[in-house]
Amino acid sequence: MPGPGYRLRVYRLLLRLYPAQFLQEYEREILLTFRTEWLRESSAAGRWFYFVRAASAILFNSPLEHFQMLTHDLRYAFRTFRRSLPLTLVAVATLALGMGVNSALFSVVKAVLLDALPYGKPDQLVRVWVRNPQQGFEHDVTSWPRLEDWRARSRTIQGFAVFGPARLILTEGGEPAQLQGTSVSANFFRVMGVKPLFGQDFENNADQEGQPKRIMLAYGFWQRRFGGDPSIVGRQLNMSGDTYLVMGVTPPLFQFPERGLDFWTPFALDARSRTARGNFFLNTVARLRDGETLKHAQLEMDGIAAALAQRYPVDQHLGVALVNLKEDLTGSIAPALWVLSGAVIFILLICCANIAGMLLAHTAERRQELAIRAALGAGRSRVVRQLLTEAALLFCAGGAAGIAVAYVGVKLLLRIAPPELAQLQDTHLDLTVAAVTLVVSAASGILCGMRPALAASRLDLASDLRQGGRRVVGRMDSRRFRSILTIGEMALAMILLTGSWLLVRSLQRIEGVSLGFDSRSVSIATLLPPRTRYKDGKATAAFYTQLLERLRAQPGVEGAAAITTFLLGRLPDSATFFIDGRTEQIMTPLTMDGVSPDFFSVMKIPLLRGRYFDSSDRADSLPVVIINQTMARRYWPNEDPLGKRLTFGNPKDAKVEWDTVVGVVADTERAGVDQPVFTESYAPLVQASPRGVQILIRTRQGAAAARTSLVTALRELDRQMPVARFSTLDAELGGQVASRRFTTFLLTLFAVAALVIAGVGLYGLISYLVTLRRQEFGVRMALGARPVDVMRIVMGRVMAMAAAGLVLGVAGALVLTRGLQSLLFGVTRFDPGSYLAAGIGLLAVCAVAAIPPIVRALRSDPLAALRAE
Amino acid sequence: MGKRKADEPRPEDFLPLHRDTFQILVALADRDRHGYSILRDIAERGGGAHPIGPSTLYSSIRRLLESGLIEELDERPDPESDDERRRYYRLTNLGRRVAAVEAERLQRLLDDARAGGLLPRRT
Repeated sequence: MPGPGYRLRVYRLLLRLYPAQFLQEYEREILLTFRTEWLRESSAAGRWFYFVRAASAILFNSPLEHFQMLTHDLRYAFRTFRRSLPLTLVAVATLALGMGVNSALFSVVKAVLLDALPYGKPDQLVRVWVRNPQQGFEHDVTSWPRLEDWRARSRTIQGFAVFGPARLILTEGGEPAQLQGTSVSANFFRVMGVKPLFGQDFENNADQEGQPKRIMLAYGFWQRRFGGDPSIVGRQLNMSGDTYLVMGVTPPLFQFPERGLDFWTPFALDARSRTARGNFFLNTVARLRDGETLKHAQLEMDGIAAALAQRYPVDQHLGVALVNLKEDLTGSIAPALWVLSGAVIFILLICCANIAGMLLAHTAERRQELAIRAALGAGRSRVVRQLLTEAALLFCAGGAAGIAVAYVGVKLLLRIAPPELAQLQDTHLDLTVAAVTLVVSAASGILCGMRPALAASRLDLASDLRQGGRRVVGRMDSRRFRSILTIGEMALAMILLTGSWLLVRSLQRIEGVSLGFDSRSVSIATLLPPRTRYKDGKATAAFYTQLLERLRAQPGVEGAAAITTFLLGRLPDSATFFIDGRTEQIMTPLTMDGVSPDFFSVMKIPLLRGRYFDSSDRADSLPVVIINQTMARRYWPNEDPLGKRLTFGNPKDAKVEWDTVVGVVADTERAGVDQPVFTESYAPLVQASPRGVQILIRTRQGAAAARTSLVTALRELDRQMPVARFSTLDAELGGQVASRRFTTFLLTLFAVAALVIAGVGLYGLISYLVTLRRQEFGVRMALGARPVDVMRIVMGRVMAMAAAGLVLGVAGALVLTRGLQSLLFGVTRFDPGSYLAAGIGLLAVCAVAAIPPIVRALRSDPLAALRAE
Repeated sequence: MGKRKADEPRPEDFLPLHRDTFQILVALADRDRHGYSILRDIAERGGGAHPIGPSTLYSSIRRLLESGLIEELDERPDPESDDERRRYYRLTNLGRRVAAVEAERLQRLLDDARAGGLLPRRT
């Protein structure tokens, strides 16, 4: 009778679906049984039926077999890990840290740099900046007339929208509250490609003069203040003395131009703001037409700017720069985020190297056990499979713990992130990122597990069983491999340390720059008197004068002053101006602040020439200004500026008001130390009569006392006056370097983490080597070696490795700190001090890591060693 | 091989047994057998109603070995009539007790079926 032939071959092929170990054990018998049973079937149909049944049983059973083997391996792995709990915990913690910081940071990177902006067709959105190369501004704001020219002339851009900061006081329901928002052109939301969550967008003419006031509420504010009540739409709100009709609520993700805004409202510009070409105050965002490219639009705008320059003197040296909105938003933080991404990848590498080292040692220590298992019939593939399962389990546990760390990490990052990162608001642990982290963890587990597993499967049974695995564990190649891993870890840690040290030095330099005023023990608060009760500048000025008097009378208050805006942002309120006797308009914008008479003395800003303001400067007296030194040097380099006159108005106008320079004060770094000093002017508060001001209170009794003084003084004058942003000046100044501080803090944190993990790795390796040579040390000491000799052997080894790590690290840092270049201030990336400090840090950690193993080496018992020999 | 001492499980812990498992234990109750002999025994007793495939048989054997219900023999009881590639299996004490309690369980089930009138009462 013929045999089963090809059906046997097919059956045999299908059997491959079973685990290798199962086949090794049973394949022959299964095939034998299959053949015998097949031959028992008498009919061809019966044989076919038998074949199909037997084959399908394989398909059904083999996954089960794999699953059982896996659960068996996992159970075994859990037992193994429980036996060596400290190693397991260190490994899982190391991994959790490595993967946690990776998932956290990459969630942020993805949200900020990679994800598209949550607006319709975000690629079409561009920021439109005025270029003013003559004065060194590449990204300046614009004025309303210029905006109208752009709108009229551009063919590549479908819409220009403008915006600027706005503040309102909500007096309805509960405490009066100062709200932060944005004034926008009517088409703002349409240009941004955002529809209200509900309600209606602003009408096309909403930003025209004389239109009723409209407001769009931010989702967060609506939730906080109105408990998410949808009937808010269509209601009138009393704000800052006007009634605003609530048009709608924005989607929660809409956070433009910055995070944490409360509202958007159409601009209500007076005729002067609409016609003054030199009045730079509008931020512009635009949307390209479908199919248009940024490059093409830029070409067109270059042409428009050139045409405008011909026509208007104000536009003479101005250009236009279009920047993709996303790049514009992330431009300042992107280099820092990429540096931090590199840092966390380093940490992950260090962690993986550490774990690989630990697994290698762990496997080596278990050689005897593995040899026994092999002797009992577990094949090579079985042992490899078991070890790989252990590695993968370890890495998955680490990955899962890492996701927990990442979850917390993202929350922490959000808390310390600088506010200009609008996209960060809604960053949460990204599930894709977390999944990738898990996959990476499992894959690196398999890879790292592979080497120890392969090493273990090359078992020399006889010798391993005989020698209890003690001698062979330290085979040269595995020791060398671990040493290389550890040196690599130290090199990576060294690079991170150097980088973070460079940033720390930059931060120190920035904070060490003299600001030109004394910010210590000064508190700052913002006041905005509502128009209902303070109709004009006279009323507000009177209120401020009274308030400052009362403040000065409070116990402990050394001085109190008022200024329109103390800290200048990147683009402060400023305007072009004329100097008396010179025909051409001066295009470099001059800042203008109203200050109370003793502002300069309270802030300790030195007077260089002339006089400070005093009580003789009244609303109806001669208009006067004090200018800063930069202004004096630029426009009166060889003259005395005192007595000279300037105006922000039009000199041809008969009623134009000229301001006389009565004093020159020293320059200050109000705009931030990494910004250029502006040309600045100050006018007496009573003459400038701004609506809102910032109150500065100098007291040595702390911010709480300052606040109490302010509240007491306000209570006597006006109980309804809301105070916004009470803070210390030092804290506000810190805000100017918040982004830098954020980067520096994180990189330092990462560098320290890297150093600690690398230290743990070194400790593990040295402990392992000491264990291997304990007997030898015992013998040496029995033969007369002193403890210091043993110490020298171990320490020599540690320092040799540290030196190798140091050299590699310095070489790496020399290359890689190039990425840090744009973040440095006042130090070069070759700053020897930073390299030295990092090197000392590394060596110190190496020395500390080596102490416990050295102590153990010294305790080697000579007698025990000799007995063993 | 799979011997348990102090922490030896109770036979009840294994119940209810999978049909194939119970069949194998029953096949080994009266004598030691090799795999193919187990398969034939099951097939003959079941009259071909629930045949068990070769791969399923050995999967079950592996599991029974692992849980200590059967053991592999070093000697071959019947060297004349068998192939040297065949290995022999025997019930362990535990395996015998497990099979017995399972049989009792099934017996009770049958008694209940009888009391409920599903089967003719014994006379």
